[in-house]
Amino acid sequence: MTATPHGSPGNLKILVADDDPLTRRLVRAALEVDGFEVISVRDGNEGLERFREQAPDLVLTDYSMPGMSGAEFTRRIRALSSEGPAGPSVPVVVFTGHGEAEVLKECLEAGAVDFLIKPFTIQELRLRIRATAELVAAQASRAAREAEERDEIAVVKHMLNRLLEPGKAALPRGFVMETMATRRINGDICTYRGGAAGIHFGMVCDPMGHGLMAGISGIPTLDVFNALAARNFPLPSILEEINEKLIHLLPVGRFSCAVLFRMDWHSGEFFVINSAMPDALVLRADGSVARFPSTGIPLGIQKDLGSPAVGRARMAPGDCFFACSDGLTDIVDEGQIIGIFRDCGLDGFTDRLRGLVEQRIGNLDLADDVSWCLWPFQPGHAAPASSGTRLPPENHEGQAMDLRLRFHPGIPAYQEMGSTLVGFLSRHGVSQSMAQNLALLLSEAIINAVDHGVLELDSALKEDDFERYDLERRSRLETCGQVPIELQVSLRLGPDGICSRLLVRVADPGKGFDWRRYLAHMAETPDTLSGRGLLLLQALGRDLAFNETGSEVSFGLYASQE
Amino acid sequence: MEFKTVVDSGCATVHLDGRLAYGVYPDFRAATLAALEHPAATRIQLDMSGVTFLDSSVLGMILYFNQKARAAHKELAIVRPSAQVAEVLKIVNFSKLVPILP
Repeated sequence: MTATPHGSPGNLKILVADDDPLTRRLVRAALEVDGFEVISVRDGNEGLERFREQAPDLVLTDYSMPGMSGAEFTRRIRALSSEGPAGPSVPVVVFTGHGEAEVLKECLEAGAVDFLIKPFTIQELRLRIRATAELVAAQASRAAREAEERDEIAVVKHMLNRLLEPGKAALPRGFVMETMATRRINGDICTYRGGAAGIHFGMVCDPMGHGLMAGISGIPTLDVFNALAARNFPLPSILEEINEKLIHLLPVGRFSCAVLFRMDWHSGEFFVINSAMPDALVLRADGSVARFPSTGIPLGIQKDLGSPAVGRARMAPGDCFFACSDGLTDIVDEGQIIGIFRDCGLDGFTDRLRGLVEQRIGNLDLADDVSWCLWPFQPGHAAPASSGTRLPPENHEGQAMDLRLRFHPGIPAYQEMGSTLVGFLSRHGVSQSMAQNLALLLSEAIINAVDHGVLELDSALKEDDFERYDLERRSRLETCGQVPIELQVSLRLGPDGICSRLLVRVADPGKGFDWRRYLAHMAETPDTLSGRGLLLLQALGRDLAFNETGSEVSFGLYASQE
Repeated sequence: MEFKTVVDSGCATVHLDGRLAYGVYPDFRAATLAALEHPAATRIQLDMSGVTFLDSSVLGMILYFNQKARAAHKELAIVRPSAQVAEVLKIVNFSKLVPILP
């Protein structure tokens, strides 16, 4: 939807001020023939009144008028139009019988854009009006473009603020997150999010480009970060989700760099992932520095992030975490940043760094947005607030995730249950090799529950005739009705966000099966067609256990198995 | 999922690929029967280089097919198992039942 400015040539509204009725009549007739709307007045006072009422696009005025000169009228028109919605753009053309330089100078100084020396011909008038009308149209079109751009910027700013403000409002005392923008919109993002109580998440992100373009790219990044950090997701999962979102949304060739970090206020445990940003630093109170360089590629380019490493540090009281965008390292050396911290510690750091940045920029325009954050670890101070609730004490070293599914095998989709679940888990801290074993063991446990538990098929039938087994299986699947199989996967995530162990339980409501006989049978008759699933469960699963009847199986997988 | 069977120099090769679980039985059956019943084929190979996943139900299908091949006096072998497949075959000592060739 667009608003039409009355700016296109041909339908302009022109105010003509002249005390000479003949000139007024001549000009009106000539302009109306060309399709302009004409308002004519006899002097400056009437002209100002009509100007206020009718907001013309262009003003023609005689220089010599009683009461108010054309120059004074021009000055007042300019003053009025700069207050109005049309801005300072309403041009004034002055008719004058005086060709003297003084008069022309006076009119120019008053703001006139052009002259017509009386007497003038209709042809001269037309040419002058056409040139001025084109100017008006160009100005109107520029004004419309600028207004549109202002609207776009306002919308993007609003969205960014909505996403950034909760973090700003909750930023714990003593944490600094600072940005300076080259344009009206800051492309860099520097944000905070509180997870569970005492867990703090932060991100410094530098989307490609500046201004509006970078701002728009930052919106999905922030949205994903906020949602997942609030739910205490591990950093690799947050990074992967942001990457997937950007691949989905951004055009080819656009990308974002980011450093994500997480601090546990209680234990001092600190984690960081750096994807193509300048080195992140832990500035130690004792003057040493732990460095976390980029181990990943920019986000939004390819699905496979190549498992960027999670950097880990144990913060001691007085240590600070520091991360920044390359806008800062372009103007301040990393050595200077470290030097400032060593010189004045936490107290004077922010002011000194700000001062240095301002000094470096001087009167120059910033070439890139500048962002940095400083998070001090000061457990002696009151623990800063964050939004979540404290995790139960038994989960202090990591978080747990418990997934429970109930399905019945009458629907063909059950066959994909295991692989879909593994796909989900592998995006949430389960390593590739653990996921591979999990996929296999889930498949074995599910088919065991379906074939033996629910369908009560005897595996011995496979040995006699696999085809009959298959036919029998299909027929029983069709008639078995709603028989719920329960699948439970419990994950324990280590403090690095990687799954350290998982437990699987599969239960069916059937009579169970003689699992002891199968295991014995396998040992005695290696060439049998059945029982191999149990063998795999035994070999790859830890602590394999059946309940007495065999209707429930459980096993574990541990990261240390790898 | 359809599996391609190619016969060359008396050997029928069934190219199994992707994710193999119980649900592939109709396609497995069709492809292996085509190999078994081909008059020019005296040997049958299951090429598993493209298999990304297999579970024990597929091992059962292979053993059943092995019985049929023996009955038809044709040799069956698994060839080029992918790393993931090789690991599963090793755990269940499958090489004692069906020859596995790299």
